[in-house]
Amino acid sequence: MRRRYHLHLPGILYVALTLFVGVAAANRPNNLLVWVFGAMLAGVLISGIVSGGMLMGIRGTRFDPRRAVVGEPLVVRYAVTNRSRWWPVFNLHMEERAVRTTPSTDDPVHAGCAAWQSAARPADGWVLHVGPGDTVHGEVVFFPERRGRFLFDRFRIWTTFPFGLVRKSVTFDQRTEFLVHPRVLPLRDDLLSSLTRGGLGGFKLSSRPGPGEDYFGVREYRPGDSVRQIAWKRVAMGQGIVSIERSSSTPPRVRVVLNLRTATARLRVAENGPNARDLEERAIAIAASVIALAAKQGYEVGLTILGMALHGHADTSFSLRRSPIRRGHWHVEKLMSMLAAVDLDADRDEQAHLPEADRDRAVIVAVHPDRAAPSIAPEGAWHLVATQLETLLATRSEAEDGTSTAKAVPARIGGAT
Amino acid sequence: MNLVERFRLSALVLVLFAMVAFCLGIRNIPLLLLTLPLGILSWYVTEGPRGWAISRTVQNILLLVLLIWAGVEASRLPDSSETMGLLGRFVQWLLLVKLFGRKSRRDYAQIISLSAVLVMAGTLQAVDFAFAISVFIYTGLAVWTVLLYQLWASRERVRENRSRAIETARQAFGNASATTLTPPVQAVFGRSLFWQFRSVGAAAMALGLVLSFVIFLIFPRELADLARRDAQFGAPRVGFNEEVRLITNKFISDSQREVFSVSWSDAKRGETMRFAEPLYLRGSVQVRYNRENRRWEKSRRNVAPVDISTTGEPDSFDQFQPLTQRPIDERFQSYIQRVTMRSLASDVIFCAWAPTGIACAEERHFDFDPSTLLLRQRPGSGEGRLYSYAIKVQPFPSEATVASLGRQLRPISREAGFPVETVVDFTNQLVQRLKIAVDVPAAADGNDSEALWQRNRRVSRALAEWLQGPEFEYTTDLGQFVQVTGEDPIYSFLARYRFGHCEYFASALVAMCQSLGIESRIVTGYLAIEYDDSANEYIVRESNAHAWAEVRVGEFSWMRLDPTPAATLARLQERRRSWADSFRWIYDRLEFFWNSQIVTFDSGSQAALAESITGAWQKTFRGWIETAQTALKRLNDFFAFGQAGTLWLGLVGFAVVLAVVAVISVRRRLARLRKATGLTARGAAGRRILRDLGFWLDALDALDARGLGKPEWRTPRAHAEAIADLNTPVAATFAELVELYYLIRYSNRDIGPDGHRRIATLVADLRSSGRSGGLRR
Repeated sequence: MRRRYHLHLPGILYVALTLFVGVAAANRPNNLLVWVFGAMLAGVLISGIVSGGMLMGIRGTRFDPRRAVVGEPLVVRYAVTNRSRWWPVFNLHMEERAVRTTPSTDDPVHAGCAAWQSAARPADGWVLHVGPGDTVHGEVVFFPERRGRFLFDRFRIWTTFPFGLVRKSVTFDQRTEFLVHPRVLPLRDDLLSSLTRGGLGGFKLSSRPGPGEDYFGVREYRPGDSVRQIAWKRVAMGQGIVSIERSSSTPPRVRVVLNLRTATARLRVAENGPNARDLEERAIAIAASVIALAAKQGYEVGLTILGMALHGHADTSFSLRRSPIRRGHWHVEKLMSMLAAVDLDADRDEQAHLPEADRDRAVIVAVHPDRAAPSIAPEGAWHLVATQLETLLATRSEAEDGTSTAKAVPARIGGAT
Repeated sequence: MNLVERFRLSALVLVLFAMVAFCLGIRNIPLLLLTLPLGILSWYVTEGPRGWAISRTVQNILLLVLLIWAGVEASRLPDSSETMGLLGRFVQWLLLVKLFGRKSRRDYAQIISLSAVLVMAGTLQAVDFAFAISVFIYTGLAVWTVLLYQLWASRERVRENRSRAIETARQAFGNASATTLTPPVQAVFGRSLFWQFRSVGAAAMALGLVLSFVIFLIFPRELADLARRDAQFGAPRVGFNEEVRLITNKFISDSQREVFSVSWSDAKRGETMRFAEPLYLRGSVQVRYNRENRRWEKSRRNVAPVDISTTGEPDSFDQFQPLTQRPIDERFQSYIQRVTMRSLASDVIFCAWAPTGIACAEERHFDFDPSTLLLRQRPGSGEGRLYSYAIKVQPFPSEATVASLGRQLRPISREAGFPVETVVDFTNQLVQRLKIAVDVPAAADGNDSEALWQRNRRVSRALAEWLQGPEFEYTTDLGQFVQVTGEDPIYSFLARYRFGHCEYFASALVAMCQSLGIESRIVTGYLAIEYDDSANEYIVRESNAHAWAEVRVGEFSWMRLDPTPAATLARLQERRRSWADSFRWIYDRLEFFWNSQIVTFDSGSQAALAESITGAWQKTFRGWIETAQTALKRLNDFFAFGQAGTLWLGLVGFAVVLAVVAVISVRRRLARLRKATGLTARGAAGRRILRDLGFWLDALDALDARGLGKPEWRTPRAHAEAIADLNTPVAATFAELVELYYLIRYSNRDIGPDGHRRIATLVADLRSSGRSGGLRR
């Protein structure tokens, strides 16, 4: 925690004006002018005293942001506590400070993280007032422009209260890592249904009970069961009250295979098209969009990243290179996090291929940066290429309110350019 | 309306008040009546339901027009001292333009700054009490508005930044939902916001007031005092001007405010009476006319002033100090003129012709000018300004008395001495037209001087009668008196307009007399004409300020001539007091304090104040020392310690003080420790645990210094886990301390010397990592 006073242009101008008035007051027999000079000088003193005293008892804590999405607001919240007994604090600004050194070997936990300022433009938050002993929460909204793992290093709380003459700040060290998920683009609604045509995923009976319609079995009545679930025939037969269980149907299954086997430098790039790194980011965005669309349409979805391991990630709760095919919000979040953590500067394995375990009963959708490589996936898999992005996007009428048919092509995908 | 939204209204009020203050300062009520309603109207126009505002382009055009107007006005300024007034008028119109425009953060900052410039321009022009009050109020209002501006501008800044970021996201990523997903900027505040904000504002104002007056008292004034002697700026405006300026006429006052009262009594019998004619109380004399800056100036003859001192004895009000050591012809009737100040604070002593002695109930020093018979309090000769004094005067002194007072014989001048040729020509034509013989006839007895004095009497009276005739009109409204470029205002008065106030009449008479070689001079002061029969004294008001002429009619004799039409004097006699004037004394007292203690506060007053404060402090301090010495001596005698007793008692006292401080510190630390640990046990076991847990406060302080302070609601172990992700080494150190803390706090076990050493090491580690600055993993 460090406190500092900063030079501030309005303050410099004010002091210059004060000196000017002081010179005038010294040379003119005008005591009212002398008093005005005294009042102006008192303003400088009070500004230093009040603002310095106010920040003495300030403590700040950042609430770790969970995740962010490229192009969407990342709200970072701060708890600001005023530990002073008597002094209230007004007009506080919170802002993240630049990361001093990118963590490397001295900080293995955050190794590989990029500085936050490479992900988003600076922003600041504002707190009007913190009373003595109070804690209030302020927020800063960033708009991440890049996907990846980033690091918040330290943040600063500053104020120019009361007169805006002196800017005082207190800096708090608090390292926090956060993930920026890739941008999810609005794909055509019929994309997945056209891919899964042929019944590769299909509906089938599940081995688990669920909300389906087919008969699964009976079990003892539990309080809360609907009377419609009760097997009245069994009751009539004197077998006690039992409830009928229905089977759970299995939705279609999609496995997204992101092909990153080829090193960035070796990708084939069109002359007037996007560069290699942009193509890779587009591929990641397509993969993320397919996953999001699948989740939205009730598919079970899995992800395999071919050609690279996720570098240095400590969390082993899910496979770093592939995930099983599942459904649900948290599963999709995990897949997005996998995509977010892809480090395109890492080494590639050009011989990688889809494991046998991933060739399960599911539609395989392979996404390639520059050109399709059918060999990486079994026959019948669908191959999408990053350059196809425009053709995959929903029209604006689908994406918004149906008034236009223009393609909703974003200006940027959100990767490193 | 929430706190932040109050700013805009507060800013408008600030600007309007600045306009009021400035117009009060330069006494330009028409400008105020024009701009103030426009300023109020701007609120309805810009903030009303339609929210109309003039565009930037129109603002720039208006600014250009204002600049051109100001440039033209500046080129026509007759006097450079009017520059600040012009600047103020320019700023006032500029403020109006800004008020009618759309206002961003920058615009509001400019508006506040311009309002300060406006008040500053007024401050450079006026020091009177009404203006000072408005400056004080403006300052308080400005503090409040600036505090609000800080809040408002911050909110707007964050809003603008966030809107810009949203728009960027919309354009770059085609994220149409960025607006709806982004939380709006809202004011986040704690409890009692309004009350605390008002408290901070009031504290800032109070502290500012105290500091500003301290600075005011200690501000060096040597240079200002030099300037004060050369210029009359800063003197309170109470109608009376020490100099006659024919450039501007805005200082002519018709105010009914009481300036002072005069009691006139017979010196021999002592009975108070009303004199047979109005009392012309002289305050200043100007002899030379400067045609360049069109003002009358004092004589360049340096006559050493006579130092007159009053002793300040209780009964000294009846002991007049003679103004000359030479004999005074006491056969002529003397009167006592007692002046009691009501609102004027000035060094000038107003007295009727011719003063022979002065008395004052305070110890004062006066300068007596033998050439003009004027009295003035010596600058810095006493704290504050005169409240009352008494003058012994002879309204009709003998030549010998004036000779005694004047000491130096002034050479007789016979040549035309007026520097404006047009006036000289006009005068020559006039005397021919009026058939006034201006030549000095040869005296039958050979006494040319007497013939000269007779000529002076005759010609000056004739000219004064001509000025008092129907061709001339007295008025204080000089709106039609347009200064013609290249034409002297005296000539304009005589030949072109023939209306004006007393300064023009007196100037014209003196100018014509000097054109004809008649020695004459302008006298300014007050005309005591209103007599209060119930109090048996004259009431002198601001509107009684007057100017007249004196013509030399003897080696030491000057004849008073008042060319102002007599009807004017009659009008001055009318009592024109409204009911509001009955309460005027309250304001007058305050103004008198302002003029006597603040406006005229100079280096002499500063030195006197410092001396009195130093004296009082030394007196008090010496009293304390003596009391302490006496008590120590008694104690020493009681215990019979002998010579070294004082030293021993001093050491014991010092030790007692140290012990008290130590006990207080320990008790406070124990209380804090009990609160931090929640330990309530009071017995020996509790004390032992508390003693062993002393490190806990140090550990918490070290964490706090690193910004990792433990909230009260979180358990130590949970806190160690919580900070593990923020700072691993610190968290590891703290976690070990937590285990030791739990061991001591709850197991009631003695950790032994090794445990204490380990604790000391861990706390030192915690502190040293804090000193290294910055989090390191």
